[in-house]
Amino acid sequence: MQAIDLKPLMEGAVAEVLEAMFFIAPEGDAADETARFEADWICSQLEFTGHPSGSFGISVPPQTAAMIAENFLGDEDSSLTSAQAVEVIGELTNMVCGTLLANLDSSQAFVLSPPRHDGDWFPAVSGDESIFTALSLDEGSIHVWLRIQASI
Amino acid sequence: MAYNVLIVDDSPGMRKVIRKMLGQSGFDTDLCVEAGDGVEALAVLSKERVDIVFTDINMPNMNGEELMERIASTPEYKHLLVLVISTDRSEERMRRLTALGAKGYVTKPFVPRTLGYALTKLTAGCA
Repeated sequence: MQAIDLKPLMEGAVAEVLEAMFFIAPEGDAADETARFEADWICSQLEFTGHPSGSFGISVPPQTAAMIAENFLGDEDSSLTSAQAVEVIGELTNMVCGTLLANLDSSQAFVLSPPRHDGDWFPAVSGDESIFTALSLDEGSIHVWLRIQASI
Repeated sequence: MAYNVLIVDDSPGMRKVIRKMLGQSGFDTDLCVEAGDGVEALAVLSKERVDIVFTDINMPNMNGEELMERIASTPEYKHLLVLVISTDRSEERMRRLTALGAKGYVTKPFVPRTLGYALTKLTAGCA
């Protein structure tokens, strides 16, 4: 299986997590939004080891991060800090990656590194081992990438 | 019956959500304390009388599996009921954690109803 074959699974994992714990339903492709990337976007990424191993990341505009964090924590806008929004995007990254890996192979255990927030919005890689997708949300968009290091 | 609960997760946001869902599911808690990893959890357990531990797996310093090994090897913690809450739903992981004494498993993402059901099963016979 090549990474590009995982794109539907990745989009399904994003939708499953957003709908269950963030009360957000993705509204379709948002590839056009990637051109609007700016330095203040919140980028979270982690490494996973198992079968396969690789890295995974999520990037969102700040207003989208705030909406996601508010929905998750149940906080009002006024009480939410930017640090909380960043932390929640990290947890979202953890859950989407874990869901994707579990849906890929439910028999094998995997290890996820703690999410970090100094990553690129999308690593400068190309080829069959990396995929990218962008989905529209009620407010803004979510940009998700996966990089496979080991063959699957 | 009210329970003393320890929530172990490296995400403060997730700990807050679990705490909130416990309330929404009608679960009666007397004490609800938190820890960010296994090391902090053991420190809490040494000071507080805890009945139920909710633990994540992937955490820095000491992960959930290592925490469960420590709990399983400590006679004073034999009474603890451990519920794992994790993104890892693999059969391999569940087998290992069950062998270590996990009494329940909730996979992220989850909804309050799922957590409530797991708690009902976990505490059946305790009341």
